[in-house]
Amino acid sequence: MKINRVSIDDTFAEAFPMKATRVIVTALNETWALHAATAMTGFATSVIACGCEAGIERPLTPTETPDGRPGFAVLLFAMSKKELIKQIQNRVGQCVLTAPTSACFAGIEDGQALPLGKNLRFFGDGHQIAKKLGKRRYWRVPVMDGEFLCEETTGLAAAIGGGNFIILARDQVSALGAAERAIAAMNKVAGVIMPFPGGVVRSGSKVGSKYKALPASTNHLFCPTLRGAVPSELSADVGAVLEIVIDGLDSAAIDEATRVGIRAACRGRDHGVLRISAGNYGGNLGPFHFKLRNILK
Amino acid sequence: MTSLTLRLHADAPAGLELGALTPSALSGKSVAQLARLRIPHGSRTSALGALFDISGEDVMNLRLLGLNHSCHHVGRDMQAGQLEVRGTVGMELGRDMSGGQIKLRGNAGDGVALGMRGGQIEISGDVGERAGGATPGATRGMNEGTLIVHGNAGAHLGERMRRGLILVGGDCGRYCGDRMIAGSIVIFGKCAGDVGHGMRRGTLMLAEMPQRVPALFNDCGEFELGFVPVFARHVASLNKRMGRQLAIFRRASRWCGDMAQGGHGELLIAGARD
Repeated sequence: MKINRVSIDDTFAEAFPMKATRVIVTALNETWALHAATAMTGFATSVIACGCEAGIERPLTPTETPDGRPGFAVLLFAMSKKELIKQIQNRVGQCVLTAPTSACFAGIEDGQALPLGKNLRFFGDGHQIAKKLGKRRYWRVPVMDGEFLCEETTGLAAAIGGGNFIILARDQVSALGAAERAIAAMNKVAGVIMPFPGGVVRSGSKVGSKYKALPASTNHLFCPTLRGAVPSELSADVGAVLEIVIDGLDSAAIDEATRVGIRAACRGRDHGVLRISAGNYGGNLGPFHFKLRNILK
Repeated sequence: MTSLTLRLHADAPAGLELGALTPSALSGKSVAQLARLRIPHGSRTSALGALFDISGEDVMNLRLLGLNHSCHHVGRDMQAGQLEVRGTVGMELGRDMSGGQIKLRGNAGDGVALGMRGGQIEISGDVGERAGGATPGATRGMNEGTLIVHGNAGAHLGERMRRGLILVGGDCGRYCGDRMIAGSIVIFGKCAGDVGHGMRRGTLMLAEMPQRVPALFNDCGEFELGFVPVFARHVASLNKRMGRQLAIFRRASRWCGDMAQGGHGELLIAGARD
């Protein structure tokens, strides 16, 4: 299979079940909402060492937010409900509560309730005020610029983490250009985040290492500088490889993100992209398999 | 299916206790069974069929027409369904109601929504005293649900109210939010004196400065509170006009009190000060 002269491997991305939620962060203007959302999703590239994977799903217009102010939808993914609760509390508490004029709301209403403002309210030291409107409860926590408004809970969703595809290109510039085109297209897909910096990861990993303490190490099969030293997946003309990891609320969202991402990566006349592949562990570890050729049909 | 409609005869006796006429209570009954239902009035009872003309069959959409001020306890213990009422009703409309919706086109007497625990009551006219208050002997008043009054409300509105929302389009009598424990009350008209007396928590939103702010409330200043737009959006989902009207609270004076009760309650008075 080829798209615009780029060979699509007959392989699949192997992904895993995760627990996720969406929260809506708003502020007086888009700048401060972005500050809060960016801080909240910082250091959240991989569950290997960050506790969760998080990212901004999309900006929200004032008509889309509960308080009529500009905001951002943020998705957080963790390996367990317990870890997700901890990450929400720490991140909202340290990054949103602290941001001037911010407020925080549930982005998923169904599903099991996860504490959002439920515990953060105690920051109010007894001066916090509850407001139950219909079935939703909000906390008004007094802070130095007025009040921090936070919904009591947000909803838990069963989600998928680890969808991915790999861009093999002639050189770094070509690989990065393709990845940037892919991310620009994938950012328009609802229900997914690409948690790595700018959405792109250059240090694809394999499970295990020669060093006992490390759970993961560099994916030598895709490192172009090791082509002569180890068995390699790369042909002689591949000079750089970049990966895009996708976490999504469901498989349809990951399918769509993969489809638009690969098509965007392969777009253009002299794109320098040679091959598109995907990362997997032989299909024995993750229950979700995203077959590239099926998705791109 | 058309709504089950009960039209009160003009010569019906006074003092009718209509607490039995709720959608849940009537569910599963045939028209013949309904007609035989005994309705108390004073020390006597009469068959429903002798008091009302009965038509329609959808019991979950019940209509009571032609009621008067001596029809009491309408919608008492209502749990589900829709109840449309036309005419003036007497005491304790929607007492102990826990679900469903009552729409009254007319006025209601004292004790509307006493001990209410859920659902919604909307009244086009006025209500008497102690709306949203506590039933006799109870320590807490309204504990959930929504009461919308488009006209005026009498004294002691929301007395010992624990949770829920009361919206009053017109004026309100004295002792609004008396010993209020929590919840929200909005008065779009004028409010007589002694508001928030003994209030522990909760929010009283007043479109106009009351005749006198109680001595035990302290001025916190003027603010644009972030919860107001969220609150307004919720109110708009219940009543668009009132939701829009809440824009006057975009900037509001906040008074905390009753300081004798900890000072966690608040009066929000709309508009910037002169």
